Amino acid sequence: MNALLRADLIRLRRRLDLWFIVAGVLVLAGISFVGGYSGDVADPPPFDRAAFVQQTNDSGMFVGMTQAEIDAQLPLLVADAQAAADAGRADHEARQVVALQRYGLPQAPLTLLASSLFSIIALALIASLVVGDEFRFGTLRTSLLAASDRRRFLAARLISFLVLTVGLFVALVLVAVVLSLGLTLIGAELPPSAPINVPAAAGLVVTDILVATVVILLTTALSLIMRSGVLAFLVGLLLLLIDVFLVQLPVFQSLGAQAALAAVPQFSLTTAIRTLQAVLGRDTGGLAFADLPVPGGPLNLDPVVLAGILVAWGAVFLVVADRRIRRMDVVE
Amino acid sequence: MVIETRGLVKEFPEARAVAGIDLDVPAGGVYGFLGPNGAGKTTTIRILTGLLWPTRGAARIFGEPVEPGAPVLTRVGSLIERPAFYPYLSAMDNLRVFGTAHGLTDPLLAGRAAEALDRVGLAAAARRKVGGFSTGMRQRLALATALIGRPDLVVLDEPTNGLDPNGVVDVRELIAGLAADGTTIFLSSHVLPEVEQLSSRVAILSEGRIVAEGPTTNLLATDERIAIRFDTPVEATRALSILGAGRAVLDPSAPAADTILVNAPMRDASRVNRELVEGGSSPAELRTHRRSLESVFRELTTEHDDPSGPVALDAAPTPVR
Repeated sequence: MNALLRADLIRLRRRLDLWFIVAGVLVLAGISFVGGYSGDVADPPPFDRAAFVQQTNDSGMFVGMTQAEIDAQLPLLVADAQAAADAGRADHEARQVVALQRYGLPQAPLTLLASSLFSIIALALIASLVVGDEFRFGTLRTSLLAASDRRRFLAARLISFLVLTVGLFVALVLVAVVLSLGLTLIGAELPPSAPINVPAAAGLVVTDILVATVVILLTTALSLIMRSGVLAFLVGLLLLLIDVFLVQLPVFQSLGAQAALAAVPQFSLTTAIRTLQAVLGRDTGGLAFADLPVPGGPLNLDPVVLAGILVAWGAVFLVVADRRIRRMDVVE
Repeated sequence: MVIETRGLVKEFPEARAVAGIDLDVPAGGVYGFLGPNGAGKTTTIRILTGLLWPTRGAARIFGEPVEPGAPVLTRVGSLIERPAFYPYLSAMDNLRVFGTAHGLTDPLLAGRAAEALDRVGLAAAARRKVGGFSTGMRQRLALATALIGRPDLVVLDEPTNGLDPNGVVDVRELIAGLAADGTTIFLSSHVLPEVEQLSSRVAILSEGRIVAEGPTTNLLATDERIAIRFDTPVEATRALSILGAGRAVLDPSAPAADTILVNAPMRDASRVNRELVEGGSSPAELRTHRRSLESVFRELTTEHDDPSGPVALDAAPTPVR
């Protein structure tokens, strides 16, 4: 197994397209982090009395009124508008204090992880490209001539993906830390961040890695079945979208007598992922997860059970991939 | 036996590629595996190298069963038709990938890779990316890949495809050198002179079946026929009618159709000559007919229609048909 892992290391480290994807994920995550901060730190424009008066005049509100009536009405309208603007500003500032905490430490890594879907999709793309290219270039044949144990070949490949996944999530956390420190260094406006639940945060990272692994297993199995990486990636995304669509069908929304049926969506892959991330995200104390909706359902599933559902899905995809690679004829 | 197959069958949805092959490849030397395109050579080789599952039958290498993932495959080095490599890796890195996957570790691997590249004449291109390699260079690299594990059995499928004349000679010398060192070579090719020159034993495959098998010398043995050349094809045709049906045929390998093959030993040459002269024909030349592998191949792969079994050539010298 070590030999196969070393071979994969040589293979993967020279694939520039994969590193472009990984770098792209990190850059986009960084842009999204900084862009989010820029949006949250921006204040609404101050109340402009002259512009308000002009706008009110232009609206035709005073048509038919005498100047005396207008002079009596206008100060009241301006006062109301000023009060509304002041209230809005106070509300904004209150929300802004909370929002800006997301970019300081220790909240910053959780803020990036709250949008980990993009990273997971990128990892699925990498997995499907790597497996699919074995068919596209015909190198599966050469690889299996060098290492004939197909189960080990698949296992080595999956372990390589796991290492890449762990590396990417560690890199995301580091990017968040570096950017947060960078914002502090340039004197950005960052209120003291709320504390986080570190064990829960570690659990969230592990969950994200588990989710990525399950999606990678799905696209790997599809790549082996379809003998094409790009097609497998697209079909994998389509299957996940279909899953999201199916669990929202009215037949699963009924409760009462059909409670058992209503619980079915809770075992779907996408629902289990969303539920687990939302529940664990809240446990971390991460402000970015505060507004994340938790998919409903009649069963109050524990995070361990939800993780078990993910592991079960992963096992299904692994069995399919393993059976496929062991039984397939290599005709490329 | 190094390779044994019994009743090997491989069916694809669109066709039956291998229709029941029994093969016994002894240890040492070069074993030629011949057949026209589509005869089932590459499919058989893919089964022997664990790339395909046989539909029926069994194959053994060094006495151990062969199927995808079989441990014995680590003792086999293979070059399969149209070799494939990672185009973004250099020749050296491709070799390192395959050598590492094979279980070799540095510094042994580095030495073996450099030695293999040198042996196939690619030392100067070791650092170049394979994506820019010509067909011949890929073929050489595939040969290096097959040899890097120092296998006991080397399976070569059309190893000189795409090579220039110098490359062909180099590869033939390499194959001969490997065989001389005690490695068993299973050589599939449709370059008949190559097989004739290198192989000590051959099997000829046609439509998924072995139609002849045995020592190359027996296959090419003089078949006690007399070749008689005439000045014109018309004369040759007249001679056929003089000798009568069943006693002679037009030599299929004679491009001008001016030669006939008479089913008689050379010692009867004067009697046959007299018979022809008395019949009004004038032979220009009489000689012993020596068969080439090409003629044997043509006869067997275009005329063999007996599915009952291959022609055994071990009891030499006997006519093939």
